[in-house]
Amino acid sequence: MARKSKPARPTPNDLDPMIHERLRLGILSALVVQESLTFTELRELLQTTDGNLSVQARKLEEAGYVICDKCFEDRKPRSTYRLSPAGRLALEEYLEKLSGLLPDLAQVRGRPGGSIRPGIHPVPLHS
Amino acid sequence: MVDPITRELAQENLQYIRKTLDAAGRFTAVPGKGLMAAGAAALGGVALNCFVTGAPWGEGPLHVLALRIWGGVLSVSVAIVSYGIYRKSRLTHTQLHIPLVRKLLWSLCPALFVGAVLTSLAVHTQNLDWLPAIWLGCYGAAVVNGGLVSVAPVRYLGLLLLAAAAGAAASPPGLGLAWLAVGFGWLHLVFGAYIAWRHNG
Repeated sequence: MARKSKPARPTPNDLDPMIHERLRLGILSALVVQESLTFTELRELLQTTDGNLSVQARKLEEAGYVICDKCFEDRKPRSTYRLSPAGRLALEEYLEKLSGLLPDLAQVRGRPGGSIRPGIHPVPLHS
Repeated sequence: MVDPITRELAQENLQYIRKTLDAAGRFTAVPGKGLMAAGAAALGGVALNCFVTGAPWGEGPLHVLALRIWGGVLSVSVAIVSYGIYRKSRLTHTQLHIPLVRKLLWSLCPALFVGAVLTSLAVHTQNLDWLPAIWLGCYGAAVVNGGLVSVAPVRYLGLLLLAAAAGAAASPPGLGLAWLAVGFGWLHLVFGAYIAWRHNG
């Protein structure tokens, strides 16, 4: 009789490199909570510089993970970012794999009322 | 077996995501212009109060009228700020999540409740001179608490309101209205303008 094999534990190489970079991860995480955020709001939230944010946001936009709406307000350009469905899915998969790298977290997740080590909690994407 | 470096990296990233979600989930729909309007309403209340009854209230026969004026200022301010929150959340496409609103109400209400109880006590015992310090203190405590789930300037507004409460408590009763003008009026005008400028309206 064929044995049902366990799904293989993810390795760091399985993590989506587009999301794994810290600032890009921050952009996606912030856009999970807020429907949309302006460039300035993201910059202040993530405590980064204009140049750095601009580069990383463009990479996410090119990957189809965020949608950028550009308009003019009082003659000043204003960029507003939203999470695309592909971006949401990619972040969910990333989180799934990331939590798979923490063995005890993965075990506790399946146990009702099980405690998780201090400071480490599975992050709900749809709250 | 996951090697310790990978595990540490995964932990760090999960914590970073959590921190970002927490920061992004703050209440950002604080209406700067609404706060300015509430400040202007408070200054109008101070002027009307000063004209009708003067200060301190404990010495005049018209203290009930003074309390009604401040009841009116409170109603107008709550209406203005509530509409401002609704309008700003619409304009900035910020969702007012129920858990966030609940968190905000939990942080604001206890101090406001204490303020209502102390106001009732001060009115019953005819210690109306205490009211400016009670109002500024309890409202300041509520605003500091609210600032924990909102943008940083809200916390500083709360701290300055607490300082104004301390000033009102340490000053002669005749300066009560002046402290109300500083706390409810000018501080709201200044912080409202700053929030409107830095936080999109």
